Formats: sequence, C-alpha cells, structure tokens
Amino acid sequence: MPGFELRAGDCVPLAVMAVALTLTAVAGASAPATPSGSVLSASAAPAELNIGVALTVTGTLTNGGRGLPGVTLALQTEAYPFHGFTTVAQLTSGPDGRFSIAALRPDRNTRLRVVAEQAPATASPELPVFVDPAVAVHARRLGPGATRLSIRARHTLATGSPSVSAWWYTAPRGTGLFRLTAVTPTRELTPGVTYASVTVNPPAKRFVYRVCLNPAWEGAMGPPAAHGPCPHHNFELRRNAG
Amino acid sequence: MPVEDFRPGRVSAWILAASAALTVTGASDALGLEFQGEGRGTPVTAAYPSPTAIAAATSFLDSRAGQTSFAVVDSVGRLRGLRMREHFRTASVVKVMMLVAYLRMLDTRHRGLRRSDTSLLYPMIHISDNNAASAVLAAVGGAAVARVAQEAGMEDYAPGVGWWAYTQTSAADQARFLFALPRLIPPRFYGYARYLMSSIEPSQSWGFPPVARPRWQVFFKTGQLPEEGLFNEVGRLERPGVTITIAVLTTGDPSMSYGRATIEGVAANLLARTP
Repeated sequence: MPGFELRAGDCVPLAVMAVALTLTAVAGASAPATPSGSVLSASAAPAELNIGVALTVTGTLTNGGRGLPGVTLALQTEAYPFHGFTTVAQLTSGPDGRFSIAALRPDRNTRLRVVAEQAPATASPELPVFVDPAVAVHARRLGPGATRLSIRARHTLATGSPSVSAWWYTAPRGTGLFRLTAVTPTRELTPGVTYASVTVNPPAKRFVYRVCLNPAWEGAMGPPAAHGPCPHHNFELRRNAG
Repeated sequence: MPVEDFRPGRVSAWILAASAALTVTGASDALGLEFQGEGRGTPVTAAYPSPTAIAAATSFLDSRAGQTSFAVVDSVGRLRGLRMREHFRTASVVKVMMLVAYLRMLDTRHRGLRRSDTSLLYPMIHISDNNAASAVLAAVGGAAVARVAQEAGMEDYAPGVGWWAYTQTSAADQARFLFALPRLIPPRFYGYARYLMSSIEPSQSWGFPPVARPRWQVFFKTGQLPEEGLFNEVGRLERPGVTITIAVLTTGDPSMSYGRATIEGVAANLLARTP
C-alpha cells in the first residue's frame, strides 16, 4: 500500500486493512454488474491534511439519478511520484448507492479514485490529496544574546531525508523585516523525522522567526504552490497585501 | 530588499510563546517549506567586538613592523578592520577555499566522503600538507576555487601565478569567506569541515586558538611563507548566539615568532572582553 499507513496496527496487510476500514455500505448477497451509464461520484475530506491525520472518502454510485446498491467497489490510490494506481481496499455500495471509507492515512501526496470493476467499469474522478509534514517549531531563551530555535518535521519515508540547509530568518515582532540570520544543516533524527536548530542573538525581546528548507521530500508533500527555493537573502513581508 | 506578499493564513505557525512548542500545519505560500514561530529573548544589541576593541586592535597592529591588515565580521554581520582591502598572498589559508571547492565537487557528484577523499583533505588541513593541497587543487580545478570566491563575495581574489600559495586575497575577503562557510559548504559535509578546522595539530595552532580557547569554538587555518616573513590566519569563532570571523594578514615580519605574536596580539585585543 504505497503511501498509506493505517492506524489499526502497524504493518497491516491489505486484507486486514480492508476489514479495518469503516464501511457504511451494506454488503449485498451477490454483487451485481454495473449498469451502463452509471456514475461514480466521490470526495475526500480533508483534501489537505498533515501526515498522520486520517481522511474519509465518501461518494455515491448512481444510475439515472438512483443509487445502485450492492455493487463491489475498489478504492485505488496513486502515491507520489505517481507511477500508477493500485487497489488498497474493496467495499460494497449501500442501499442508496452511498459508500464511505475512513481511517485512511496517506504519508505523502496521493491521488485517489473509486472504481466499480464489473463491466462496464466505472471510475470516479481522481481526487488529489495533499499531505503536509507535521512540524513543530520551538524557541527557548538561553540567556542574554542567545535564544535557541529548532524545528522538527515528521514527513514521508518515501524519499529519505539527506542533510540540507535550514535557512533561518528573524524579524522584530511586527516589522516583517526578516534578516537571514543563520544557515544550519538538517539531520534525520529517526527515519521520517528531520531536525535542525540554531542559537541566535534575538533581534528584539519579542521576535518572529522563520525557517525554510528544501528537503528531498519537498516534492512529495504539500501543494505545489508551497514549493520553491528558500531565499538566500533578507526579505520583507508586506502585511495584508492584496 | 525583496518584498513578498504575506498571507498569514498559509504561513503556518503564528504565535509561539518562548519555551513553548507549537505544532505547525502546512507550509507558507511562496517560499519552499517555510515555517514560522515567535520567540522571546534578550537581544545583545551591541556588536561584538566592540568599537573599543576594534580600535585597540587597530592601534596594536599599526605599531607592528611589516605590512599588516585585519578584518572582522562582527556579531551583527558588519565588516570592520584596518587596511582591509590590501592584497596579500594567501599562503596556506587558501586551503580552506580548496576544501570547500572539493566538498562541493563531491556534492555535485552525489558522492559521500571516501577514504581517498579524506586521505587528501585531512592532511591538507590538519598538518597543512602542501602535496595534498596540490592534489586537491588538481582534482577540483582552479575554476572551482574561483567560483567559491565569487559565491563568497570575495572582491580581491586572484588565482596564484606559479603556485597556489601565491593566491591573492585581502583580509576583507577572508573574513567574508569564513562568515559564509555555512552556506558555501554542502550541509552533509559541514560537520566534517568543522571537525577539520577545529582539530588542527598543535604546532599549527598558533594565533587565535591560544587566545580564544576555551571561551570560543575556534575554526581556523594558518598560513606562512617564512622566507617572505608572511604569516596569515583566518578564523571563525563561535559562542552560543555569537559568531564572528577574523582574518589577520601580515608580510615582511622580521621573524616567525614576531609574525605569530602580531596575530595573537590582534586576537587578544579583539577578544579581550567575552560577550
């Protein structure tokens, strides 16, 4: 099951995972074929989430506006770097054609779809799901002229996390004038957990800091709009820009 | 200074009290994976070394024989010193530039450190082995060293004619270069470079180390051309929250001990007060 983890237990095989899924559909005695003209609609909520957070896929199988019960459906996923869909669970549509699958925990950006495999095959639109790293930042005052900043990011295991530069910027609170304060290397504390820290001379008693990374797993996580090179210079953030 | 739009909703971690951890969701809008927090602390606003210390070092150096210069990038990133742009031969301090060029070459080739690499880099820095330096330069090429100089913002660099030890430099360039080391060295090799530059053998550890240690972490390189009375030293000194870099370049010194004493005197004046 590339790209997924299931909290019901670690290393859960596919068959067990299917049991662990929450299925609101009621299984029919025998799965009928999908009539021609059937429509599969599906949605994933949330469509963007942090690693470790569960999402739910819900939808309806209809034909001519009426729900189709008892049809065997397959949930398929295609995780970054998107080399093809694989079936990760099977379920059956309920009496009104509705279906729901919960407790899915993708560990990186993933596309989902639901497929009715009986001829003629019907598939839902692909549902992009963006998975963000779970990040904790921390500031600790050490003494005059020294505040320790750190970042710990939990991320996908899919790409590894070789050391990269963490770019640290600080600004007096309320100014938006960020100065490139330090560049430090990251290190992977444990597989899937990357850490960086720095001790800075705070620019003011209360200050804002930013830390920017371009890790190997950047492309696998978060929406594309969030990706790009870290600035190698001071910058100003303009508040409330239109 | 570039100006960027700021949409707080996408920038993750608003509001972080000092000493408190915060879980952040998502990345910012424009720049890589970027996260934000808020901290508290007591700023040390005065630059280190102080103007008084700079003046004392200047006065001391002016009283010394030979051609001399020094430059400091202070704790707030300002470049100060005496005759900072005068040109000198680097002697062995250029080996730090070679080290950086070599590590960048490995990174470009997606290679880790092998025994064949450390068998050159370690002696080049640890005992200032000239043969190892020549081999490193042959491996990276002069253009790679020039690129390091360019990326460090060195304005007085010129490759050596006839021998790498004759590379042209200035105190300002060397102080800038040492300050830029964290961004010039590929992250995965930064620890190794720091190890090399902080564990140089005792006979070569004159100048900054005896003055600064143990109050400071000292990453440094010395260089000398005794026949010219040339004694140079460049260093990066770190304490929690304070980083400074120093370059002292001298030539025409009457003796080795005199040249070394000149460098130690500059360091002693600059570091007289601990921040």
